[in-house]
Amino acid sequence: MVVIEANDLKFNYGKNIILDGINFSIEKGKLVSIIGPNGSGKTTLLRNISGALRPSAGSIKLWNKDITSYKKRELAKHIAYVPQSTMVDFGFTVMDVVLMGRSPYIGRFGSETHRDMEVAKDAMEMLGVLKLKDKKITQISGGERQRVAIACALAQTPEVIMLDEPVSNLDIQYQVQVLNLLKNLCSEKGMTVLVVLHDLNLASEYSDTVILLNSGRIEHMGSPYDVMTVPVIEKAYNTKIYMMANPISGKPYLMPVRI
Amino acid sequence: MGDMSKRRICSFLLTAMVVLLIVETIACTAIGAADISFMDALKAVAFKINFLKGIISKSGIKESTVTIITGIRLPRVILAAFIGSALPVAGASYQGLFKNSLADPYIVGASSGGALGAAIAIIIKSKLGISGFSMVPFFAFAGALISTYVVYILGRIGGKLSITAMMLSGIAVNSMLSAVLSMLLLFNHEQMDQVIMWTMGSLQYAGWEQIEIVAPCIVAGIAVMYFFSRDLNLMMLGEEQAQHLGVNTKKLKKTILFAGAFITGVSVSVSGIIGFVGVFIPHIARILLGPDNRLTIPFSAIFGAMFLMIADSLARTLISPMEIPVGVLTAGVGGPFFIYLLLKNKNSIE
Repeated sequence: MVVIEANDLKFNYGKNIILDGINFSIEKGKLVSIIGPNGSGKTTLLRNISGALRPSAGSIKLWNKDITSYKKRELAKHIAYVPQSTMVDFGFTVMDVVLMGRSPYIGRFGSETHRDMEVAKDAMEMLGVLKLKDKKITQISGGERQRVAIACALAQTPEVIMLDEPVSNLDIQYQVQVLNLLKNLCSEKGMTVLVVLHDLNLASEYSDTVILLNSGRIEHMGSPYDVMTVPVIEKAYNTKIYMMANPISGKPYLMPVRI
Repeated sequence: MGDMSKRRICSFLLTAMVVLLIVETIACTAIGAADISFMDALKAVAFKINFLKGIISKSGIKESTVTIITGIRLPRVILAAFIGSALPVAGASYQGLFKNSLADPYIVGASSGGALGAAIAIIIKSKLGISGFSMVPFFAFAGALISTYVVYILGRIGGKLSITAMMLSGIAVNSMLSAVLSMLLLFNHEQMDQVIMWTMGSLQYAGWEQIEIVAPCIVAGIAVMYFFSRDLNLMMLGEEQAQHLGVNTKKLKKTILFAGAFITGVSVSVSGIIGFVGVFIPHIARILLGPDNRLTIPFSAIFGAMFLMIADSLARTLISPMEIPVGVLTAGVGGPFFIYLLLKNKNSIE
């Protein structure tokens, strides 16, 4: 079942072409990672898919319906988005912030129900931030804030969750914890995950599908075994690498080579 | 937010504050040059309310007392309450919208635009010999709206609304409009006194007829802000986050900017520029109750009303029989507070 589909998607800021004809379709329940060198258009692609940016040409379809035809509130029930960095200057508590994930479900004059509280608590539990619930968002570390942002997205109970480099700021145990969690959400709850990853080995290890973006085009798309090959990666990143099979999972494992 | 018992405490607190506000209203009407006791003021005010007329006996109160209280002091105190509630609500909403605790309709140009609009109306009125009051708020509102719009356009050059650009262009527009206002004054000495009042902020021309126009506008404006208070909370997480949580941020920005310019313009039209109330009252509300706009907005309205009633009572009695423009008082208190905020937020203004 296809959840998201891009048809000849183009996006430009003024004369600056960022995305130049993107085509793909993503199946329900898959973990899809987007990789590519800096400035290749990863974040812009994600923001086009989430509806935050409007494509300059082409279209994005969610459940076979153009994304621009959804109401913002309706869309927020389908898609959650975790931005690269979240900086909040006002002293909301962690609980407040996670509960904001419920707002697409709460009427203008309604208030949070018991169920909203439960969903928010479950999400915090999953990310290991429940113990921080009464702390102020301004007083926790960057890594904790990142996990709170993911909890907020999960509280939205979306079908699709998009994350922009969610693990770059995290310690190694949380990188594994977050990616395991995302993987489980895919396989157990049928959630579709679209994630920009910086670390190629994490992408290789966890992805069902890898999209390699370069200069606003999809250079390769396929399983980690198809995309993570020496010639493909060397060409895209313009550097020398060495590749072996991960001794535990057998997935491709890359190392940069000092020349 | 969310916690049931906390919500009950807050609604109790709100009720208590409203009661306190009413007591303060009476107390403020008792303050002034003519010596009137609190009880006499209370009776005089009660007499003004129709359905209490039969119950209250007028014995022991002089007719002149009733006139002073209900004809002169009460409208002024009530107007102070309305304006005092309008400016902080506009401030709180702008602060949420821009994710910046220094934002305020005044800073983005609404005040000087409003003052210029009011001045133009006053001058046209006297030139054409039109009497009546209704034209001034309309012009003040138009002025506030136009200047806010210009600042908004300047702030979003390059496609994305930048807070820094908006604040900087607000400063530029403010000083440009002040220059135009000064020029107008130079050529129209006759209205000098009245127009100067607008630039310093004063409630000395308050009357029931102003309240009739201003009060519904302000109540409507505050209602709009409260209606969007949850969206403003999401906005405080960042515009993009708000969008992904289902807020139509483009529409929200326009609505809040418009409503803010509206209540600011209407306020400025009767009271002139009363500065800083919009910045420090919401800040105090946030310190006491946290950042949730569903609390910040109603409590800012009440705190602001209380503050301006006291400030205006001081303004008219401190050096009686002369008056201090209340804008001078609020700026005297608010200026240092603003500087304190600036220093404290030095690293997070962006």
